[in-house]
Amino acid sequence: MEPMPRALKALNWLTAALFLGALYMVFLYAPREAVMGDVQRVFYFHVSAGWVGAVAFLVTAIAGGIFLARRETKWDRLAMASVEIGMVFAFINIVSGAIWARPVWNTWWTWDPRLVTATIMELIYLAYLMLRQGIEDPDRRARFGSVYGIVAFISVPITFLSIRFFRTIHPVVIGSGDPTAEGAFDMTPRMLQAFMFSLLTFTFIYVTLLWHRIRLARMTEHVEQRRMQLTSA
Amino acid sequence: MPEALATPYAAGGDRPVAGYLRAIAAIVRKDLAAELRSRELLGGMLVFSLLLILIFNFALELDARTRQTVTAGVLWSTFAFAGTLGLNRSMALEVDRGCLDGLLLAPVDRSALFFGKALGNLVFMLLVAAIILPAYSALYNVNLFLPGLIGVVLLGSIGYVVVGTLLSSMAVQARTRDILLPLLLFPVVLPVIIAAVKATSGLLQAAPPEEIRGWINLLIAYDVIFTAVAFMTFDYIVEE
Amino acid sequence: MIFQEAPAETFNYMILGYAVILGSMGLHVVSLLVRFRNLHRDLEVLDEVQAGEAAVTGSESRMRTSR
Repeated sequence: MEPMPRALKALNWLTAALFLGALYMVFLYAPREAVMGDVQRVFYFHVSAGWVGAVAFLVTAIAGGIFLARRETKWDRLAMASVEIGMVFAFINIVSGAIWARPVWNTWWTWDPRLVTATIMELIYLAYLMLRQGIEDPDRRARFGSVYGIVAFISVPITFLSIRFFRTIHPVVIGSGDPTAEGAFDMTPRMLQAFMFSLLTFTFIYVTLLWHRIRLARMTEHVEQRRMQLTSA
Repeated sequence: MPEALATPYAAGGDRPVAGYLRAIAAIVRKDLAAELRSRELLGGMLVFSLLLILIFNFALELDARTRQTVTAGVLWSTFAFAGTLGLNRSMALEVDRGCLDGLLLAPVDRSALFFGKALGNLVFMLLVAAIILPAYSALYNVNLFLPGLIGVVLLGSIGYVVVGTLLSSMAVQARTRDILLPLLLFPVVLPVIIAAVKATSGLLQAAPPEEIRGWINLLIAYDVIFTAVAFMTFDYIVEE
Repeated sequence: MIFQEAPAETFNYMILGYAVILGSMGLHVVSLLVRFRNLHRDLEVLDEVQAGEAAVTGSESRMRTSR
């Protein structure tokens, strides 16, 4: 099994540095929000995590499509790796959203379209995993995973739009009347910079973790092969 | 096996579309004939639906006041849950009796198999609705016989059945087949449920027409998109 | 009466939020590290077993030829 490529080692350092930079910007550089106070700082990583969750899902769907076309295992490996990372970050998105909502709207859950859609996305990830776990044949598992990944991904924007349309007709009493606002506040330039930097950092985190997770998958397959060779020899 | 499946192209010859449609019709006829003999699918779905409405009667306040607002939700929840029974059973019968393998051997475009199964499932679902709607009407003195409502039931059922048939063809091949279908289906079919409930509710409560039209447009868009997606991906599920 | 409205005291919620965020990311990274380490160990064991088998077959063939 080949050692960690130099590019990945460099990426590790770069991502770690970016992460430290993001922490600085979020806690020290960005100002305290005038109305909500410190809890608003959760927003930077909350949205970035949601961004990673959505991108990971898109990657899974595209990788699934490429797998169906080319039937090369590496694409299915990419899809699975992306699902795992997406699940972690979608979870972070949901829970941090609830923690942010609590002091601002005095409720743990707002039926906000983005929050609900993020939860549905997490449930789809779980269903994806359960589908794969229930199938023995590896080729079929990869094919079915690919199809479900594509079908489910297409449904997510439609779900978001339906919930938003639902909310424009039924403004929820708690929370703002605007269905697109999620704890709206005015962003000063410094906040905007912190926000953009967080998005950038999390994108790097996603790519780094993805690369590591793919290496893990390849190594797992390698070990399995060696084990089978030994027991059959 | 109906003869139409044996040589659709020979029979259709220079009219492959006719052969394709004939294949679909053959599959639907097969499902309906089998169901007429055993009645296990329809019977199960019907009884289940009635039991659900019974449960809802006690779980929710279905008194005269709230009935208007809650009827749409109760109806579509019932359709959604009873629907999974039908989808599961319909596909399981195919696989367990070895029919699927036989169908796959036939020289027919795989998508014809999909549309045949989906159409059969749609017929079953509409049959159940045809009995549940009058039953609910009678039990709760709510007039459900509005033309728009029938249209919404049709559009909603199409969306549900298209995605349901596609996903059940995968779920049925997994070990956890019964529990898996609802898990796969419900998150994906949620827009149909939302739109169908809002459209139905809007019709029952005489909501502004632009609102109802908005929901119906959403249903149509969903149906079109997912029929296309199912058409393109079904091949990959049944290739062996 | 003129006084500036101070921002809400939500420091604790911020801590809770970041605890969850950083904790989850940390747990995931740790799980990756643990899985890598387990695989490395499995490879070591496999190497040992393979070396052992080679030694056995090597000595077996040596026994035969010494006859």
